[in-house]
Amino acid sequence: MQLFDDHAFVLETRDLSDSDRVVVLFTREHGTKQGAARGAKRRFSRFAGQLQPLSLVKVQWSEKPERQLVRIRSLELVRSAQPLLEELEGILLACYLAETVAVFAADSDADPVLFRLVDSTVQALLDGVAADLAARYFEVWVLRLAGIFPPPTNCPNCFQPIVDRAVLPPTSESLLCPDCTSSATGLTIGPSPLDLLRAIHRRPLLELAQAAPATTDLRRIETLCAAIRRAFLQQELRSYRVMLECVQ
Amino acid sequence: MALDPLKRLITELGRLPGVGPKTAGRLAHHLLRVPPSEAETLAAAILEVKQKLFHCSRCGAITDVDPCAFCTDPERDDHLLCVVEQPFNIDPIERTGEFSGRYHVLQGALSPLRGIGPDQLAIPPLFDRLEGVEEVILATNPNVEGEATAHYLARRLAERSLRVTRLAFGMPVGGDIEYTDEVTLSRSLRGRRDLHS
Repeated sequence: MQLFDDHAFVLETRDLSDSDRVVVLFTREHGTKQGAARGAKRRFSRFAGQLQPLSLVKVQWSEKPERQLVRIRSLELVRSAQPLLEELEGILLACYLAETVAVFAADSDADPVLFRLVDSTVQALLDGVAADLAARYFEVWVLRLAGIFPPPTNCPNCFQPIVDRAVLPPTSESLLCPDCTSSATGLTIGPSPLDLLRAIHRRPLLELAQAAPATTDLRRIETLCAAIRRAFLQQELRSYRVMLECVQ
Repeated sequence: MALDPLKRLITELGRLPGVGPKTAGRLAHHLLRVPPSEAETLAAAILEVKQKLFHCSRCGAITDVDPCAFCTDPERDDHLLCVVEQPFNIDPIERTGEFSGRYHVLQGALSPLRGIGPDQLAIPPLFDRLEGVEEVILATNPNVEGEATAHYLARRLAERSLRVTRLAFGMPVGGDIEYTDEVTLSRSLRGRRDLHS
């Protein structure tokens, strides 16, 4: 049996038995881990409020070969995401970010860049950066890190630079220039959201927040990210679907 | 071949929530050892529950008569409605002896991570029975799902002119500050109350 110590984000918890919970963690150096938190459902549990989505924790666990569940030995709260969870939009967003990480992070493999992205996004949200912008920034970067976000630079068909308009065709995962595809059937990204997309690729979130991007541009980028993600996963994220249902 | 019934029992027991393969095996071997009458009593009890109990058409509680005793009891206060996630959440509230209103069971909670949205909960029947209700107590669990549900309902109930309350958060009675996690303690501090009112 091997003991490990690491920092981790809590992504999800679910019931394991009357008194125990399974906790899904995204660790800094060991990728995602599923662990049994013994006694987490008890009244005087030492885990209690620490198992909220996106809580940053210091965790120690033990692992046996061939076992899917690790055993969580201790868990200490480093930074709570509780202020985010005080209202419906925050809870829905936290769950959406957590599910996105759970889907795109590799099991048991370190992903320090993704870890830093989660860390900086949660910190920005706690510092008061607009949730809409933080979520779009996060989406674009997660898809980019996963290697599936089409770069808004050159058309992969004619290799000409994408200047002020790009189109995501319904059957493609590439952003094409308007000359190479019909904008009637695809998702058109106009000059303003295209500029914002390029800014997201180049500038840190806090700097972007000062520019306060237009809501219409953020909506376009959200639609684009959702289309790319759906095409890749062949389904929609559950939390995203529930988020849309709840805010309708 | 002779082991098939045992394997089947282990498989079926293993489907129960919180019962893993090892526990299912232990339970199955225990049932093998008990007298046949005891196993028959257990089987009959399981069948009876399935045959005789159902959800109350009004509040969603488990009952053997429709409407249930909570809905028909004339002593209960019609102005108070306590919303819970599951039928088994009613019992602990009843045991407090502090609540004498009616109940409404949502049959679940919003769970973004499990894909459970508002359409999968008994929310429309809740809105159908708000006539005469003065206070809705949102007694969903103090976890992410329960909180999301409470916020969602509170927002929708805001259109109605009634009082919407949420169960208080805080330290468990008999607990110890030293061993209380930061989130619980923080919410307890924010929810503190005057002793001299």
